[in-house]
Amino acid sequence: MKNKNEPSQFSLIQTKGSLDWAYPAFILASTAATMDKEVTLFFSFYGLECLLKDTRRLRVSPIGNPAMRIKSPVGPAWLKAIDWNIVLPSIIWTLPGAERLATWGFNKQLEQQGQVSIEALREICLELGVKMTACQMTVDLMGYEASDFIEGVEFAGAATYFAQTAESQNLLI
Amino acid sequence: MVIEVNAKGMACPMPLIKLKRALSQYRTQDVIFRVLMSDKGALLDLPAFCKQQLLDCRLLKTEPDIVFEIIRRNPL
Repeated sequence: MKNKNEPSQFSLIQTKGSLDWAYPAFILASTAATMDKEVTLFFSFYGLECLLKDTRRLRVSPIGNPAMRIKSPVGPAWLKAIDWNIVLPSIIWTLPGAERLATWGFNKQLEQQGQVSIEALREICLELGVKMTACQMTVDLMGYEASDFIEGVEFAGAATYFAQTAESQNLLI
Repeated sequence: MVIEVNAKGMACPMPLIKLKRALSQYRTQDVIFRVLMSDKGALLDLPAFCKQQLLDCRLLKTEPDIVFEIIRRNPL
């Protein structure tokens, strides 16, 4: 059932490869697909990480991200209220394991919020017919193999992407 | 026929996706969907979705859960 007043296409260019960049793209894509839009996602450079079978490199980092609130997802209320990104000096986040800890906390908070995992959300997008294209040039440039990627991903270049998305393109920044 | 769609405790975009799945599952019937959820963002999102999809949508209550009733007539 397509409403003729609405644009029928939605597309996004994803060039970032961290967990907090992956979520918005897949949330927007799945929602647009639910609303019967034809959705195309184009993944380039670090954004390719979003399409890998192995998602361990999709993390969040407090480094260079002063807006990130880092709160403990577990423990008593007074502990949960502390924003560690304000309390601690930034140099702390360069220590081994700090990024892993921040990612663990981020995932835990998402889970408590009732958010699905990034793998599940990505799968839902594919189920809903979201077209995902990995930029062949950057796949080669960054040394990925086709077998590193999940099923359902297409490999093509920018021209294919533009040809598929005549109405609009958006860069997620 | 009344179909209950339970999306309690689920965050955006899952309530919408669950409703969409139910809509396509019962594609050929006249159905009333009763959607239960707790995601406050969906208070505006669900009516927006229904408007775009040309579905009748009514907010029944917001406490303790948000409950919408969505009526689909003249199915495809």
